[in-house]
Amino acid sequence: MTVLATESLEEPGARVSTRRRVPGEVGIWVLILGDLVVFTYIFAVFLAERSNEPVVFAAGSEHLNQNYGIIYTLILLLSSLYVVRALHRLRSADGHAAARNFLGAFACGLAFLALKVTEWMHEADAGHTLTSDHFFTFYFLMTGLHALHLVIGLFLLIYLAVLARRPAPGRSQWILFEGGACFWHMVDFLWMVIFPLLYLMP
Amino acid sequence: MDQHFTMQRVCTWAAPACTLVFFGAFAIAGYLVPPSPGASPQETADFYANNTDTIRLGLVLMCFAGGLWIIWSAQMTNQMLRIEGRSAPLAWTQLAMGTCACIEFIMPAYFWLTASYRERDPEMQQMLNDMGWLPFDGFVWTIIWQNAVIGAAVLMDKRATPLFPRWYGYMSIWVAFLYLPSGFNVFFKDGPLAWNGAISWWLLLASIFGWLMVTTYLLLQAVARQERETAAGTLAGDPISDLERRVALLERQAQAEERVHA
Repeated sequence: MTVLATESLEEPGARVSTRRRVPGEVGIWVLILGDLVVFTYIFAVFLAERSNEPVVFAAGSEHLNQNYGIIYTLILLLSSLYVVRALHRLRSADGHAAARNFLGAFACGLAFLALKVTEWMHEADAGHTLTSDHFFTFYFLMTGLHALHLVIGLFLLIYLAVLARRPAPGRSQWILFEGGACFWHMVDFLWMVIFPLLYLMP
Repeated sequence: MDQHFTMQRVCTWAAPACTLVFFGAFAIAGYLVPPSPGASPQETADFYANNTDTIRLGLVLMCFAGGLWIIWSAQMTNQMLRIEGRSAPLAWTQLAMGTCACIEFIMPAYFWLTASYRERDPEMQQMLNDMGWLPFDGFVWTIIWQNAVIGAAVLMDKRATPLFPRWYGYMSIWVAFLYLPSGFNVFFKDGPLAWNGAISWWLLLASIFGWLMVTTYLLLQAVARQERETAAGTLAGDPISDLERRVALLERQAQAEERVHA
């Protein structure tokens, strides 16, 4: 991910450090990589269940609206772009522009959430719930867990927008900016895997 | 002031002991792979009738794990007090949550032991079986907070070199989220979230005991560091020992003044 390679901790005017450095701090990566491992586990369980009940899963997948899925994907990609731009602006010491970009990402995330809730309600109306069949157990579980991460990300984005407007961010603020950005990219990345698994697999 | 390093270590080792006892005992009882919620009452009754002795032995042994959980929790509070000092809401919450978690081991065991105690109507045996399994997975309501307050305290540590590494704080909070899905096992009779499911049971086990092993290691590190610093006289930043150091300084100053005036 070239995005990560360019996001570094240099405050404007600071000397470039030649020591290897982690964006954000190590702890954030324990969280992100751990989350990715657990989601991979859930995806593996999903695929195993799917091979046990191919008909049910295929029917469920067909039922979902692929157009929705594409819209979600585009919204999240846009939100990640906003986050990248926000960090760019922070490095140019333009806190207010950065805050606007964080809020742009927030708006995208909120739109995603609103659409997602609408989709859930639509599915529930059609009689598909967490317990109706195994496909929909996974559907609600995976999109639900993803939405939980998204909501946490939304709170984070608001906080980062507020933080960005304060002058002269120090090291611990930069840890939050970078760590928060990486968390949001993870939310985006997770959707990139969930979308094909649920919506596109034949 | 004696910091009781040996006893601290003993109490820390209660955590791996809890793990060993839990897995060993559950294996004896035949409970490591949970029965399916979809099993019929007759199948459930047969399970208790055909395995009575191993079930009783295994589950009675498993109850020890409950007590051991509290012992390591107390040691965790002991170290957390060094982060928070005299005003320590998180340390005390942790202890209380750890204590309640003990119930989570023992109460379900007694429902199952009751089922193994007499021959009964299969419907009643199924009910007793359900009464054990639903909370055994599902009783996450204290461990999520136990993890969360540990994580919060670790991240709040203001020392230059924190008592626990910061990634452990993040990890503890994150693991609390991993426990959460198991609490919803009541909604399911099958699938990954049922009490025998990939998420409600297996992910839960891996999360709890994996995190516990990391915790054990870091607690031992913290005690070792405390011992080193006490020996070198460099135990800095401990709110209580700071107090003692200031008192000692004041005493020396008072004695010096006495000599001057004497």
